Amino acid sequence: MRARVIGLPLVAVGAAGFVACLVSVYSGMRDVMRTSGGFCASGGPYAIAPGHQCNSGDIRLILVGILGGLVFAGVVAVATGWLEGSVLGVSLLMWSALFGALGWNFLQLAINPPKGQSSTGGWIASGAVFELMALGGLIPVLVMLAGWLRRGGRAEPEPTPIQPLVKAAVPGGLGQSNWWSSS
Amino acid sequence: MSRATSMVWAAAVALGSGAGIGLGILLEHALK
Repeated sequence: MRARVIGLPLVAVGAAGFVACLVSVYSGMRDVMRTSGGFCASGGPYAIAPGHQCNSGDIRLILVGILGGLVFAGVVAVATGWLEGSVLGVSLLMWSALFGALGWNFLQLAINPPKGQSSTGGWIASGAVFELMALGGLIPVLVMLAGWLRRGGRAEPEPTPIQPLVKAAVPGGLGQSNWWSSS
Repeated sequence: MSRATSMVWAAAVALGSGAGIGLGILLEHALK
């Protein structure tokens, strides 16, 4: 009962935080792609090409998004585990959301490139890889969901213990005494 | 997890995600 009272609101808070951080990373990444052609740098000993100096707002968006996203993903996973739900399922769902959203950024901006962006082949390749990674998480989640629906919402049955094929015949005397206590 | 808890869990995730989109847009304006 206590798990439900605390765990369910914690799942909602974790999901809200995770999605908010995902929006933050998404918009920071999109801004870097629009204004700097997809890469930027700041600080360090090297001369940074004009137009590729990192915007401090984008740095904040991406940093807060990544670090906060990790924390809130942990909150969702721990709360789901506490409720005896599928930690693997919810983790794969967050994985799919992350790579699906960022992959969409790559593909959408590759199809409608910002002004001054010459080649977008790399973005298409990155977008395709990201979407494949998202699918790699989403397909197992859908399989798990289908199994859950087939069982009518019941928990997965415990696997039957595997009987050993070969059993060792232990002589009677060996069972009573050990080599370290010879009495 | 029981069936009823699963339903409430899914609703909590959906509600949280919906709120998260709004919060994310606010966060974007605050950090940018």
